[in-house]
Amino acid sequence: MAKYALTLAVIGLLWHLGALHFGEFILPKPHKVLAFAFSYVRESEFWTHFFISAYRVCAGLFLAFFLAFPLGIYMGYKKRFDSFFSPFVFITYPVPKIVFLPVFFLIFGIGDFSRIFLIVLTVSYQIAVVTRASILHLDPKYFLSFKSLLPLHVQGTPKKHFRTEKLVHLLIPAALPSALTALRIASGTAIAVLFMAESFATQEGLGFLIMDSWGRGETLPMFTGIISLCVLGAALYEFCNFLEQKFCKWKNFQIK
Amino acid sequence: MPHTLFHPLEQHRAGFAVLGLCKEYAGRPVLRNISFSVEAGRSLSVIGKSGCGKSTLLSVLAQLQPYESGTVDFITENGSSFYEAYGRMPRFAYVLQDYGLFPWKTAFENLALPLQLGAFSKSHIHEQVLRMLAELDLEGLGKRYPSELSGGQKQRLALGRALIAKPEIILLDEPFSSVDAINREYLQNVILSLWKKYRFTFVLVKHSVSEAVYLGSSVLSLAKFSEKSLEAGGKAEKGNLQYTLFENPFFAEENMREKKEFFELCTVVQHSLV
Repeated sequence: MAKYALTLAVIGLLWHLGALHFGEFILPKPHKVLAFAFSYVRESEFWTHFFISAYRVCAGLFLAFFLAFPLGIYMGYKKRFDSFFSPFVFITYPVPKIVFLPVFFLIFGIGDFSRIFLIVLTVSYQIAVVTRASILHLDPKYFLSFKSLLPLHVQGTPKKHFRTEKLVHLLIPAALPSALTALRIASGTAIAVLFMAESFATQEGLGFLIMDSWGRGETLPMFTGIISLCVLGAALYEFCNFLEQKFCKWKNFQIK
Repeated sequence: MPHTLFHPLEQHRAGFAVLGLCKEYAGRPVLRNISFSVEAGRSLSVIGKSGCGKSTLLSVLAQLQPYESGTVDFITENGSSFYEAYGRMPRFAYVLQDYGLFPWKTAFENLALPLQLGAFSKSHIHEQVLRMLAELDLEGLGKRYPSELSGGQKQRLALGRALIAKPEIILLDEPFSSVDAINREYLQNVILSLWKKYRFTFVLVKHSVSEAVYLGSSVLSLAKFSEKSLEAGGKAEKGNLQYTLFENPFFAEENMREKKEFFELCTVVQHSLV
């Protein structure tokens, strides 16, 4: 906590110096922004913006994780599926999905679906690729070990049984730490995509608040929007951290 | 009959007879014409230089790998077919070279897994796991992850995970290889005392001669298979075989380590490796 406070103090100081240098019209002083923000958070208008943004980014990350995590596991585990599906993934991976936002608006209409779809599409690549790698690089001894623990009538025969058990005891716990790390990194990407997706064709969201205030030359609400997006990003990052600590306790001990 | 094979009450002694076993890796023969048998309730040590196929032999016995030709038959104490006598295959346990414990499971959960896979009731699993933790001197460590355990503790945990489903044949691949000398001796005695109690049949792969002799009622000394050495008549006097079998009449006797015969047997086995 002390470290966070120190970091915030340093940022505040740099901001203040920047404000002195650039002048009020470009960069308002931090205490003025904070004063405005504290009065603004009492209005329901702010919370409408905040919650709609939080909803979009959380829905996007949630859907992305629950699509990409199973997909990544399946790609890492099933060689035949991987051999035809991963070329598709790796060719489309470097394509910047964000440029398709206008296309999605045309196809799916101007609404939250298009925005959330864009977040899901951008972020699920990162999660799927990392999850796939974590299964591919899993030490084969764990597969052998698992196989050796099965009752004999399935040992050495093609697996018709114990798929769920393998998933629960082996694949999911083995892939979860890297997938959650990927999710943590993806939460930053998701916020950036969210900002782009909210900066036009909507009247709600922190992205809109920032761009709208910027267009009207009102720096105080603009900076309030920026700070709120930062807080949202930090909260998501910390939440992913919390998930990692809760569901991958064994990893914490290993790092020591 | 999905889970009758894991029935907790029914446990029989099982031995096995291997006849003319051949195993290849990518077209290269690793095991050629191996034949031996282990009586129910006895033990076998497999020894040989690295790369000679010791671990392969073990995983073939554990039914974890297919083999090209030959037979592996499981027999009862009086030598009849195990399958015909009990209507099933014997239960195996396989202890991997570096334990194969799951790092994401606590000691308790690692021990519980074989029973969970055998679909036992929760209360039965709980009871069995606690008993096993106590038996292996791991009491109170159930909540720890493998990374928080010492090498010797991990080894005992791996042993416990193998023993918990009441196996009839236990296969150990280089046990204690990453444990220091003091712990190693202690663990060998743990295995022997467990054996005296349960009389399971066990096969272990070793690269130390004295350990192999100490823990084996018979010792299989395996040489790396190569066409050249066999054609040149290197081991022609042994009938062109890549292995030699020794009996250890002093197995599991008190103070075996201090006996003169023990050292003599070790020397003989050592010579077979050269």
